[in-house]
Amino acid sequence: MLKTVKLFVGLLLICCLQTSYAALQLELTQGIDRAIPIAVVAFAGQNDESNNIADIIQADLKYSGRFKLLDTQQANQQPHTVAEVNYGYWRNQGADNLVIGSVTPLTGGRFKVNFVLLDAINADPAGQHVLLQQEFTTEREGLRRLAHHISDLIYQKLTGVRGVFSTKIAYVLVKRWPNRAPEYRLEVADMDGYNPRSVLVSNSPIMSPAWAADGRQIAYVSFENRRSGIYISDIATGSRRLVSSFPGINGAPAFSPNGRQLAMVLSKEDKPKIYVKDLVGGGVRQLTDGWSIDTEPRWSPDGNAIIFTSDRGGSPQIYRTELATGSTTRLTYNGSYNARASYTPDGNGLAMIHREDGQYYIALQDITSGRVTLLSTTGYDQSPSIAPNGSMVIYATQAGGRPMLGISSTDGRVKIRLPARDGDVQEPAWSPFLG
Amino acid sequence: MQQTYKRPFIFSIVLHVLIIVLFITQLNFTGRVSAPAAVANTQPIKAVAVNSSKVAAQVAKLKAEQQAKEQAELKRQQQLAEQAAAAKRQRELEQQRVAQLKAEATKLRLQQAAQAKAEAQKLAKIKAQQVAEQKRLSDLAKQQQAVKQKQQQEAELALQQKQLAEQQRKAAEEDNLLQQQLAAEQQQLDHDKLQAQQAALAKYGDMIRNAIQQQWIVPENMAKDIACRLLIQVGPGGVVLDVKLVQSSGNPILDRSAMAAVRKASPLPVPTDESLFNELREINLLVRPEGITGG
Repeated sequence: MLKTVKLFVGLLLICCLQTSYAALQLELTQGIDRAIPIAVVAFAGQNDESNNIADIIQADLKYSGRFKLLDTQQANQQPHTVAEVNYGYWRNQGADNLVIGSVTPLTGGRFKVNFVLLDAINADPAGQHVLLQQEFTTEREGLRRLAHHISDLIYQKLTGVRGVFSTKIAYVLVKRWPNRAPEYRLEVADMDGYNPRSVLVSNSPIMSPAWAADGRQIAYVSFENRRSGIYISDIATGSRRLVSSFPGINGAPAFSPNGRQLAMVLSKEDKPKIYVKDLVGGGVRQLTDGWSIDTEPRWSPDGNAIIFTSDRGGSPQIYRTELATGSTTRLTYNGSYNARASYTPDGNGLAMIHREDGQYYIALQDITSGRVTLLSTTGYDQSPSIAPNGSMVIYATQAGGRPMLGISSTDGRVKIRLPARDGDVQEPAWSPFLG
Repeated sequence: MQQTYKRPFIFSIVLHVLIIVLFITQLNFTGRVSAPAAVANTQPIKAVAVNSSKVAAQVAKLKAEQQAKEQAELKRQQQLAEQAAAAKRQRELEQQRVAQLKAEATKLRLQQAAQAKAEAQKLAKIKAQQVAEQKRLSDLAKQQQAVKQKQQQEAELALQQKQLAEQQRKAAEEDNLLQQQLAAEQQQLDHDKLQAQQAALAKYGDMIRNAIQQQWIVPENMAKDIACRLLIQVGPGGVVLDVKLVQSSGNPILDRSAMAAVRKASPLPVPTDESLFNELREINLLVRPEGITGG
């Protein structure tokens, strides 16, 4: 995404010409908005196709949109140690940075993993190009997780922002069979869709999974006994509890940032309205009223307000209600349909569903300017959930008529689909930072 | 003039007639008065007793009466003669008077003529005066004209002198200006050379900056008020020999991105002219993220 081109107005000062070798003064204020070119060389000692660390790092960095991954498979040079690196070669390949490493099997099925992040362009005064160098030991099963961890380290080192490659996603997987009732699963997987694990398997529909801020619990809606109820499951133990089962709708749970409250939608007083339940004390407080349908509550990052979708203005739009005062303001004005919004972690943007020409897209609205940027392209996109560092949005989309998950970088530069699963994937929810 | 004469003439005629009539009338009166006196005198003679003495006295008386009569007659004649003489005198007087009048008229006429003459003379004199005045005026005008002409001439002369001075001054000035111009041209030549060099430097500065700009991937989430300073050593052909971080922005990501941009831009566009290139051997680069251009 290209930002506004501003004319360069920097000063150009020429020093005294009489003095020879006086330095020319230049000022640089504009640059390019481009992904950082990086080469990740296959780690030494790795033939494992499924847990190839270099492949995982490459995929992670690529998803983020911030990096341009160079093809290293065809490279003439395959260095694994710092001493083997020819910087000129990688510079010529167009790499700004280089990732090398090795996996060494240890006794007892463990592995020693070494990785180095190198600046292919700059060297420190001592002539060193190394930016990061670390050694790990792990089980075979931990190699993938370790790869994500290395991606996080690289991401943070090169962008200054914490990586989200070790975070997880929750979603609902629906398996349908010709002669059987469909099966509903609440699953948690790595953010790239790998390592799925079922938190709940049910014959009743499951909806609206939501992460607790500590990443240990997930709230969701289950229609067991043909009645909606809001449950909270502990991911590690699988234990769960029912927190809301009022007559009518019990829907759209959302944990407060401090984890002590749960916003939800109840229709116990006729129209669906936003309520806040105190998870410690158990009390339920009605936040909105009136004849409109109010739904999909999400908390502001500071926990002082709740945003929600309401048709009170005639069409679905996003509103914000202050918890302290109850005062409500409308946040979206662009288009006739904006729904299921959530704040970006910095509170400066809204990720939401935005309808344009009858198609539904994932969009990002800048809070200050009100400008709306589309992040998805299919037109059937739903349920956006933003990564805890704000760099990516995961959402439900369709490919070839099948529901699956898509990820877009919030700069709009990268759009990917997660590997298809055996079933329909719905309502993804991105976890907070874990650990 | 005729009128003036006419009136006294008529007056004189009437006066004469009046005098003559008066004269005749007086004569008649005298006759009448004498007659009754004679009658009265005869009356006492009728008395009868006459005495010699008385006669003698009578005779004497008669004689005396006669004498008185004669004397009266004489006296009357004398009176008449006196009257005639008086009339004659009167007439003469009148004649004198007429003559006098005539003379007066003549005198008047003469006077008038003299007056007219005087008047004419006066007029002539005035005229002469006027002429003289005119002449004086015209002389004066001429004089003034002359003065004016003189002044004009003088002014013209002054102007000419001034112009001449001005011309001389101008000439001097032009000469001076020419000298200055020559000097300025020389200076301009030097300046032009300097400017051309500066322009060339500015051009290469722009090109170098553009080259680096095209390589600078601006890191995201950078604070707006940070900047770093780099010192770039440029070798022949624009090869970046070294990039030193003179002043860190405090953000290593920004520092590295800037240094990488400079190195990736190598070789930088530099002039082949050695003196110009010498000015580009060292470049101070201030990197201050403000925005992003297309790329």
